[in-house]
Amino acid sequence: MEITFAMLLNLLKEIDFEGDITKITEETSFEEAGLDSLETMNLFLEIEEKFHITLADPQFEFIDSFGELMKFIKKNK
Amino acid sequence: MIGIETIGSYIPAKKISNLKESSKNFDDSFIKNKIGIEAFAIKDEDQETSDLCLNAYKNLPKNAMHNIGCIVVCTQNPDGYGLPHTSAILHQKLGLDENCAAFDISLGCSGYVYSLSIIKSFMIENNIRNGLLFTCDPYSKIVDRNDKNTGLLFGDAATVTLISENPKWAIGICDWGTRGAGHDAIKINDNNVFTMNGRAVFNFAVQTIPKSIEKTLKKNNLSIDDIDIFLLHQASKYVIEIIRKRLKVDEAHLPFKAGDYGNTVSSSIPLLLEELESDFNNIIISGFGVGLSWGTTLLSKISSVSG
Repeated sequence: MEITFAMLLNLLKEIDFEGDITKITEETSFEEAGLDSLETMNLFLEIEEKFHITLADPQFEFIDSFGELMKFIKKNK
Repeated sequence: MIGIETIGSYIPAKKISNLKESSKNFDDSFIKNKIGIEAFAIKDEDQETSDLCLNAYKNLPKNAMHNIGCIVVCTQNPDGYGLPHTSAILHQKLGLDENCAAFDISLGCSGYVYSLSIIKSFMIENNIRNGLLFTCDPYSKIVDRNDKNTGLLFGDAATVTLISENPKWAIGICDWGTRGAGHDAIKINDNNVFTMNGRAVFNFAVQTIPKSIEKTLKKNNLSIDDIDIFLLHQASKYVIEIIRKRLKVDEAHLPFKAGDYGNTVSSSIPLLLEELESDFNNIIISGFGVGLSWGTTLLSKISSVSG
């Protein structure tokens, strides 16, 4: 299954993220979007469960934008 | 039948506000809406674990203190260096008879559920009519208040549960488990510093507990609609909310209430039980944390137990 950016944004809705999803682009950082540390953990867990992927690479902890997250998912899927 | 007769507790009066203390790391809305712990209770430095237990005992209804055959203390932050066991020290402070058994149980946030099952079995096996189960894990002994992962979460408290032949609640069939592969997610490290891997603990809790509750319901031949209230270990408001959403129950049926005293480890479930205002028939309790360990069981009001 091809994972798209729209699917990623949809996951934000599923975790009840209260920020403005329409303003999020691949360049947006988690902090700029208003995603706090607990919401970020929840988003990562949702990605792992929905896409059957493990987000645990040592480099993963340095990812802080939606574009980098997309790249990581595609590379490791 | 052996079960829970009544509960007493002690929460230190001294509180530290997270809204004032943590302004460097988090804003107030994150504290209120996500962590949920606006203040945590903290014991006096010279108060020992057994002192907190003694204070909880003093808050038991007076008519509950009779012919105690065993005392159990669930803690991982015992008096002194852990030897002798805290329950022996408490035995002296309570002035109990030498025929009264005393032992500690080393478990964290899952400890209350495990300890209920252990003390119930011990009492039945040895024909003991009244026993006291204490929980007290004062994390102020080990937490670094400047650690952004743990410094805002944990509060000190003690509880005592009178287990007797005159119970209000029966203890049902339990669901247990241990994810030993994740044992280092919550630990005291080689530098004697308490550490927690927040993401590992979050994933463990929100993935494991809904399944454990479903298993417990099945084992006790009940469905989720039969449960009047779910009392879960009060890890943080966000963890409780995510578990609640995964179970698809509303906030009134799965509350977070530790906002003004903190995550009190094995004391969090008995504190909620003691506070219950309504006369519920079926209650699910579930504890999870250090280990990574979990325990879930059903408490049924005695009049609602068939047979």
